[in-house]
Amino acid sequence: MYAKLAFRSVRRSLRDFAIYFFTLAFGACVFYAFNSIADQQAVLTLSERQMQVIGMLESLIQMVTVFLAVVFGFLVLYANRYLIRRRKKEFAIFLSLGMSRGHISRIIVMETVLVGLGALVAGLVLGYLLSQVLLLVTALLFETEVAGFALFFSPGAAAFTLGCFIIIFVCVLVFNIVTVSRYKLIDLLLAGQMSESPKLRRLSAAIVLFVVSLAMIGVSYWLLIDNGMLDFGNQFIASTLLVCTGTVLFFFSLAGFLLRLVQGSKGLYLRGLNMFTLRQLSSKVNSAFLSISLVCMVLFCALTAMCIGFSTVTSFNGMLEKNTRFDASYVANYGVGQMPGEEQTIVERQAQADGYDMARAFARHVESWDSLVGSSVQIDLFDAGITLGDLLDVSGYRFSGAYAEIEGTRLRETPVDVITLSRFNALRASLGEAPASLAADEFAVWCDMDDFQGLYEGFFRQGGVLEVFGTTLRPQGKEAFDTLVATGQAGGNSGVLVVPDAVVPAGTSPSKSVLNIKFNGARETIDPLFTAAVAAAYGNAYYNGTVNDLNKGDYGWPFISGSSAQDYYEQNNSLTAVISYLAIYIGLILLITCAAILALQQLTQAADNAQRYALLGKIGTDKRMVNGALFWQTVIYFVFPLVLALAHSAVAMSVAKDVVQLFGHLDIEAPLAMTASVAVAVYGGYFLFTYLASRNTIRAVRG
Amino acid sequence: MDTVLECKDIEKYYGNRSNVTKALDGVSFNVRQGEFVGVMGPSGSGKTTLLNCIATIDSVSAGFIHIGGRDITALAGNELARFRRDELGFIFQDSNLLDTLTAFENIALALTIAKAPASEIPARVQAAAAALQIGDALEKFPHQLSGGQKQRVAAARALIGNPTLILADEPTGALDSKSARRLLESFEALNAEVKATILMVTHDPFAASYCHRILFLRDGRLFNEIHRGDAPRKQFFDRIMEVVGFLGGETAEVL
Repeated sequence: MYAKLAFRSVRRSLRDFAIYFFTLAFGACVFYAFNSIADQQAVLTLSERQMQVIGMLESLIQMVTVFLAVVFGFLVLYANRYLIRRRKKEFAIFLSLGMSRGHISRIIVMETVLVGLGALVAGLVLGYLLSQVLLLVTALLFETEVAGFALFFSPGAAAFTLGCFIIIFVCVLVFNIVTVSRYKLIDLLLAGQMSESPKLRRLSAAIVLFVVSLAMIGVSYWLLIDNGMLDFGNQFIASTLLVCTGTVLFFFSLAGFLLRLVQGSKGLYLRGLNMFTLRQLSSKVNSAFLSISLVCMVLFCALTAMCIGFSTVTSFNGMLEKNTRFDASYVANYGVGQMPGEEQTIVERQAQADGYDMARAFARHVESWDSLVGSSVQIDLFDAGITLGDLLDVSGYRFSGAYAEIEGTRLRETPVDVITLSRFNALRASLGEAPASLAADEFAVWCDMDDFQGLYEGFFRQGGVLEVFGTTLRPQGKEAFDTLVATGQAGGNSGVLVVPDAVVPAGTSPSKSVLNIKFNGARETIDPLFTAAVAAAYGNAYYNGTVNDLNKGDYGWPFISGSSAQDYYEQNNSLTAVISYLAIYIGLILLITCAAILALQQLTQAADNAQRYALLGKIGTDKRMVNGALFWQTVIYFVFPLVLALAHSAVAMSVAKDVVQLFGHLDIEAPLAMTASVAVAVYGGYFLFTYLASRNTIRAVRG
Repeated sequence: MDTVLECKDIEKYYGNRSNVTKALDGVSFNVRQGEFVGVMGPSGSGKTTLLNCIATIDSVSAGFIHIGGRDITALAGNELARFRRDELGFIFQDSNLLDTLTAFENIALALTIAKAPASEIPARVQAAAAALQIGDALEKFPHQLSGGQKQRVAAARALIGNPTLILADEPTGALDSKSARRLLESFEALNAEVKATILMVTHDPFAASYCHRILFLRDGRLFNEIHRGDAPRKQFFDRIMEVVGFLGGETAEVL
């Protein structure tokens, strides 16, 4: 009998349960899909490094899942409270008929299990489908293929999801039983009555508070932009505190402010149901401002996480293309291996023996070098004693963002090396770029960092001249060349001067050399052979990317660092995969949590206000007008947290962009747009559902 | 004088074919412009059903209701809402004010939903409030008002759109005797000064004694009708009591 009651009540209030059900199912779906990543290695052909990355990703995702499950658990409790609250009348009838609280608890247990189980099964099925998509994404990210049978099921992930759900639901059950056992019959019977004491607040205070909240948010933005994200000092903490307080104040005063604003214009206030809508909002927000602020901040985290996820994918993938134009690149630094009492370093002495020819040394060490390597270009950089400080003085340029802090110190001392025109043009030719030309008294600049362009442009504008190895040179052109230095080093060249060959005195030894290699054949086929051959010659040093172990007798000739394009690809793709998966995972769960909380609040409100809407109908309000009032209420409720969270997130991302730009170039426009569209799709879905469901609720009462 | 409300042979059935309850069984009567009419009857006599049918909240099973010359049984959907808004004013037993709105806003709401020009709303609300002596309570919220004040705010809301007919359902039901008397006096004043046409359902003979004419309902039929004429209120009250006593007495016999 109780089972029948439970089953019927779920079926009858299907609409109420719907949002609860979908949220649970969606949560289970995302939990399963992301946790299944660990088992993807069973069906993917992966290199050892990629296996390691997947392993790391697995433990990270499990950790994050536990955190998200806690957040999600709170959502489920919240949703559950809403469902129970809506049914106080029903429980009152059960109680007055003589049913014991134990019986009611049993009904609730059955309902919870029924809905939870249904959602879990639906979620796992959906998650199974989503995990197939993720499998393809992983394959794409790791540039590998799905081996053999494509459809795969991860028992581990299913068990993990089940575990999370069981824990969440045990908590829900305990909570429900405690709630029901506390009910008093009289309270339950009177539950449907309107509350007669809305909280009152002086409206003029709302305006002042609203302005103050905007000011606080503005100041916190300014502090954050000024401080940047490299320094987590007092300014950063102040900014965080201000933005939190500002957000709470914003929502505390928003409804009052809107009310006052509209009241100022009688034409707007005394039109249709405007005053009703605003009064409803202000009476609701008075009690809900804290949860809305919390939703806004969580939404901010969700949006920022997703934005980071998407931007990692787009900018690193864009950079990868640019960054891997040579099949392999190696750097030799002649300053390494300084021994006490000796003028020449060990590397320099070894290099001198090979005539500073890296390829010759490689050919001697590495087996079948000549057959694997098609062509190679070596560039030599000379130290002419010029530093960035010299250029800064003439240019008058001021750095912004993260560079501004080190402008006076480290940045000034950064050497600006010199390269001969012929070597530079050889490099350009190997990349298929047109050769540069210089008059005998001219120099050009070679730099591919966005932040430094202004410095050189300023120098050109000022008509500055430089003395290089005793020759006075004037700048040529207006812009710097952005030719790639080496694979894996795009966006890392802060500036090199290109000078006519005659300027560098014969016999000057270089301070640094770079060897760029193109294979004798397709990258896919040659790379494994090449990698194996280099590893055989230099041992583990190859994987560490360095052979600078003085104890073992390695002194860094012919290279101190470097990687093949393939290796670089794998390293960075793995990083991309880890960051983007985690960020999008966290973002998605937090996003649906927020949307679901807002939806539930709005639905509760619609149920609580059903009597008021019925009254509007009785005194002859158009149906369209009532629906309009409901629509705008829902819009304001959903849009303001989203807009504020988007603003926070845009500021945070623009600051984060500066940080990432220290290492390379980052686009945030496209990821922001992508984040916004995902947010709008998920959020918009919840919004639409909420509006339609609340419309049905009030229509049901109006008859 | 014009006929404002014309009910003709209205019938209202509840239930299905095998088990029919006749809530209204051939009720016919007219209300003229400027009349203050009461409807009385014991519980289950069909008073509230009658009022709901006239209020277009419920629909009749047979018969016609004309209000201001329009057949309301032929209206549907938004036409009904518009009709309620423009032609009718309501006063309920429990005032039914929106608790989130001030008294001013509650009254103004009746005008804003009718899309009246915003510039004339404040003046009209003030005038209606003055007529009902609640001018000083306009900025208060319902929970800050007494029961009598709430009912007078509701009366102002019903009156402000200049409706053809004001319908009152047990307006004094939840009031103490002093507040009830004041409310009824304001009804009387509205009726005399603004020429408002009022149809009031009540089971309280004292409230009914303020009317010009009383219709008695029993078992869904019009059972009796008495006119006050020029008689003083006390005398009219005695006559009402006679009918009520007779109604009660007969019920007692059945028992």
